This record gives sequence, structure tokens and C-alpha cells, in this order.
Amino acid sequence: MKEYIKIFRFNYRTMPLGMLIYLTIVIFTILMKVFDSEAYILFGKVDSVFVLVFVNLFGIACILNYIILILCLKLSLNTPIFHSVPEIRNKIMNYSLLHLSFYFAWFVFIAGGLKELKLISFLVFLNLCILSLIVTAFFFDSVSVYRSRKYIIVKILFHIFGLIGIFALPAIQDKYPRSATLFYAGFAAVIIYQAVSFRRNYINFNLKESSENGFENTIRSIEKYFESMPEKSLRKRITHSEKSSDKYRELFEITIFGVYHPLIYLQYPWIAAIVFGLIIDHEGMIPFLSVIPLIAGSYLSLTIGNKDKITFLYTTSGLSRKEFVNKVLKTVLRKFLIAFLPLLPFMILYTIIYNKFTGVMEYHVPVILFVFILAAWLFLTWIVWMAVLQFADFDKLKSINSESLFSRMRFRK
Amino acid sequence: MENNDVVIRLDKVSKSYRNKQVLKDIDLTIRKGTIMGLIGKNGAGKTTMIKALLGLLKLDSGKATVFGEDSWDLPGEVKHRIGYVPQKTDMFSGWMRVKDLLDYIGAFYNIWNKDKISKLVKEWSIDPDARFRDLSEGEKQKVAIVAAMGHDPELYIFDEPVASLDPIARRTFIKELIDLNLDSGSTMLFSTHITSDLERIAADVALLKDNEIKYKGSLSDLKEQYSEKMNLEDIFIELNK
Repeated sequence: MKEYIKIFRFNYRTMPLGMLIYLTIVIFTILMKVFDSEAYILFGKVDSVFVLVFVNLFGIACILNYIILILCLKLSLNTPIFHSVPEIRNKIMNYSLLHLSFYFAWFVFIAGGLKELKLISFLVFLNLCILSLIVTAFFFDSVSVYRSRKYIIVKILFHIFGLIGIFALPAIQDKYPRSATLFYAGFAAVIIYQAVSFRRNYINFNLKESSENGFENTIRSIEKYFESMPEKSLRKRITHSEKSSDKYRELFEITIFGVYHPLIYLQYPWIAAIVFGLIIDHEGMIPFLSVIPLIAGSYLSLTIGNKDKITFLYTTSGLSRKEFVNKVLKTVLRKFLIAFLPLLPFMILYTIIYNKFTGVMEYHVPVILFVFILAAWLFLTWIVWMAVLQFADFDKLKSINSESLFSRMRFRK
Repeated sequence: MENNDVVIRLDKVSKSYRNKQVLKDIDLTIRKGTIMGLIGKNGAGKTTMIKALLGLLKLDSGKATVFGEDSWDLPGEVKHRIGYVPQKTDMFSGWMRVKDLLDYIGAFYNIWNKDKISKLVKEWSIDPDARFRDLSEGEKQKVAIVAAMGHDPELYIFDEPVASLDPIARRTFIKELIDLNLDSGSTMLFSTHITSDLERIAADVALLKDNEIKYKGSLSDLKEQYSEKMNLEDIFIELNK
């Protein structure tokens, strides 16, 4: 028991704000069971600011749940206080399972009030797919079995079944209840297989193996290729900057934004599709817009967290203070403008497709929305960076940051 | 009128954080070619003083100048005459490989001595292909020092540069500084806790205590004031009592 309390304390110390999830769970349970036993507020129509806040808090609690899980599984093993505890891996695994079971039981308890099995099924499938994806992503490098061909096939099958479960099953389960039950049983078997396999690998310490042949070797080569891409790009940009008339802008971009693989641009069609989907579904737009202050807050925290990088650029660049501030602002605004612009043609393309096959949407709607989002984002960026750069005292700003709520959410070393 | 020989001048410099005085009426002058050791307990204000010189924080009162220019608004060309090694190496992009990081830093400067950089990387046994984030603290510190030397600055400002280095690396580093000082007459401000290193390198020392400079002058003069048997560490402890 003592060890489990230690693990809890570790989680609390690492991410104090994250632990508010337990308090949120209790408050939600009381509120839902006393005032909203049919879960109307949570899964019904968003028709007031109160509902909006409620829905967003629920979403944040769900995300925090997974962050705590990964924190516990991944980081606690690197902590010296646990090194001497016998069978610590077993205990961490049990604690994580307990945490996850508690979360799922709570989720079903809350959503159960809906009496809407289709929605519950949709949400449970969605949660399982997210969980599987997160665990694979965080342990892909360290758990050797995840790199095997067999396991990757299992994972792909799992996600295909998961997608069917999310989107198709709610629609067909009334018509074919027997097939739906069979599907649930099959899906449960795959989940159990994954859970048992993960537990075995985690406890038995089956971490990265040295075998560099066959399928694992192929994966490693692909990884190496992707790893080397930003480096090649970096070298190219350094060479280019030396001849450029605006070398500081190019160099600043590298430190502030890093160098990304060109494949990152493949995300544009998806982002544009999500935004376009939200324009069509006005109700879906409301919770989305309400998340903007949260994104803005995190963005502010990240920017202030860049203080060390700004110090580096300031001391290294051959620019006076005023020139430096102007250059950084221009660099950041230009980068965001370039990052946003490719969304516009996609949104227009989707409008054309949408108008051809289903509804009628005037072309100025996505364009105006795009310009509005872009202008708001650039304004926010300008304000945040001005605050960072013009603040009289770099150290003062840093000390404020170290006490901010957002930074307390970050993992402490 | 500013003396051409003066590289750093602090004139009645004061700075406080949240009502806690860190520097109080500090006066200090460092002339060209001097190696000045800055010593003081933790929290004595060494890093604050260095940051004030680089224009990284604003002073409450007083004036700090570097090469005759107000440190709060140093012209670009003056900044390029300074080589700065910070106490923490968080400011570098950890995802870069050492060789790329050094090339990247080099791209900021008009003059970048690649041969010197390659020589130092080799001498200090730094793996140029390693990612910066994967290096130990000592290795990161070595990279930071090498990066500060590439543009052959006239003034070096080191904020506890040897804290994470092993004794061999510390000796090599000190030898490098002495060579630099002898060959090019570079000026150096060197903050450290390791007083034995100062004895090897510094001609002058400034001791910060209770937010003020308690002693400034040559190391030999300081030693003369105490028993012959006392080394700088003993004197440091004595002065801090």
C-alpha cells in the first residue's frame, strides 16, 4: 500500500494541476447525478455558457486522464525513489490499471444516464482507440514487440475495427444485433490480448532489443530516414542563410519553430476538413470556439517558455535591441501567415465539392471565417511576442512563468 | 570621457527582485586584456551582474557599459565582440547534432573560425555527431564554451563555465583561456565557485558579498593580506564569514 501512495505522490508532484482530475470527477459525479441524471448537459445541445464550460471541463478531464496514465507508466521508472522498491513495475502497472478502470467506470457511470446505447458505444470505442494509439506511440521505441510485424498488423486491425465501432456499429446494431454482439466479443478479445501483451512486456522489462534484422530493421531504416530529414533541411537552410539578404530571419525561424519534415504539410487537408466540418455543423463550432482561449493560454505559456531561446538569439545576433524585436516579430508573423495560407484553397475546394453533391454554401462563408481566424491568430501572436520581447526584465518574466498555472502542468525534472 | 582601455564599466549598479536586493551600488571597471574572476556565494548576484552586462535584464539604477556602449541597448557589432557562456545550456536547440549546432551558431557571425572549432571539438573529445540533448551536462558545457570561441571575440563572459566539467577538461579549458589571453589579448570575466581555477588563471578578482563588492583588485594583493599558508578558498571562506 505504501508503494501505491508513493506512486500517487509522484504523480501529484510531477503534475499537480493534472491531479485535479480526481476532484473534477467527484464534482462531475455529484452534479450529474443530482441535477442531470440523463446526462443532457454533457451530451445534449450546447445552449448556454454554463453548458459550454461544463462540456469543456469534461473534455479536459478526459485528456488529463491519459496524460496521468502515460506519466505514471513512462516517467515513474526513471525516478530514483522507485529504484529500490521490489517489483515496482508490477506495482506501477497495477496502479495504472486501477486508475484506468476507475476512469472507465466513471465514464460509463456518467454516460450511462443517457440511456442512449449508441452514444455510449461510440464514446467507449473512441476512448479505447485513443488509449491504444497513445500507448503505442509512447512505447513504440522502447517495447520491442511493438516493432514486430505481427503486432503492427494487430494494431492496424484493432484500429480498423475501432473505426467500424465508432462510425458504423451504432447505425447497424438495431438491424443486426447478433452481428453487433459478435463484433463486441471479437473487439473485446483483441483488447484483452493487447492489455495482456503490454502488461507482460512492461513487467518483464522487454525493452529495446539489439536484433537489427528483418521487419524491425526496416522500421529502423524508415525512422532513421525521417530523423535525418530535418538535419538535411537544417544544413541546407544554414548554407542558404549565409547567402541570404535576410539571414537573421532564416536563422531565427530555425530556433523558434524548429525544422520539420515536409510530410507535415499532409496535415493541411485534414485540418481544413475539420474546420469545414465545423462550419457546416454550427453546433459543433461552439465548443470548438470555446477551446480557443485554452489554446491561446497554452500558446502564451509555450512562448514565454521560449525565453532561453530568445536570450540565445539576442546574445548571438548582431542586432540592436530594437532591430532584434522587429526581426523576431516579423519572423513569427510571417511564419504563421505562411502556415495558415495553404488552408484556404482546401476550404474552397471542400466548398465546391459540398455544393456539388449536397448542400448549398456561399463561398464567402469559409473565406470570411478563414480571414477572421487568421487575423485573430496573428493578433494574438503579435500581443504574446510583444509581451515576451518588450518586457523590461527577462528574468522577471521567467520568474512569473515559473509560478504560472500552465508551467505547473509541465513535467518537473 | 570613456577611456578606450575600459571594456566593462559598472557605475553604481543596483538591482532587486521582488524587494530582495541582489546588487547594491556596484562599481567595477575591467580593462582590456584583464582576466577578472568573479567570486561569491550562491545567490550573491554573479549571474545577475553578468546578465545586466549583456542587456538581459534592466537595472533599477546605475549604468553598465560594455565597450563604452550602454549594455541595455548594445549595438549589434558590439554584441559580436562578446563571447558568452551561460550557466545553463537550455538555450540551445537540443534536437540538433553538435556539428550542426556549431555551424548554425557560426552562421550568425561574419567571422567564424572553423579550424579553431574543429580543433577544440577534437581536443575536448566532443562527439560531433551526438545530439546536443543526449550529451551530459559537462559535455553540453564544453559545446557552449567552444561555441563562444568561434567568432574570436574580444571579450569573454563566462558564467560558471566549469561547474560541470571534470578536472581534465577544466585544466584544458583554463589552458585555452590563458593562450587566448596571451595570443590575442582578450578580456575575460569569469564567474566561478571553484577558487583553485581562479588561482591558475585570474590576475584580478572581485568578491561579491551581501549584494556588494567586498574586494576588487589583484589576486596577489589579496593573498598578501592573509597568511601565506592560506589559499584562495580559505580566503574566500574567511571573507564570507
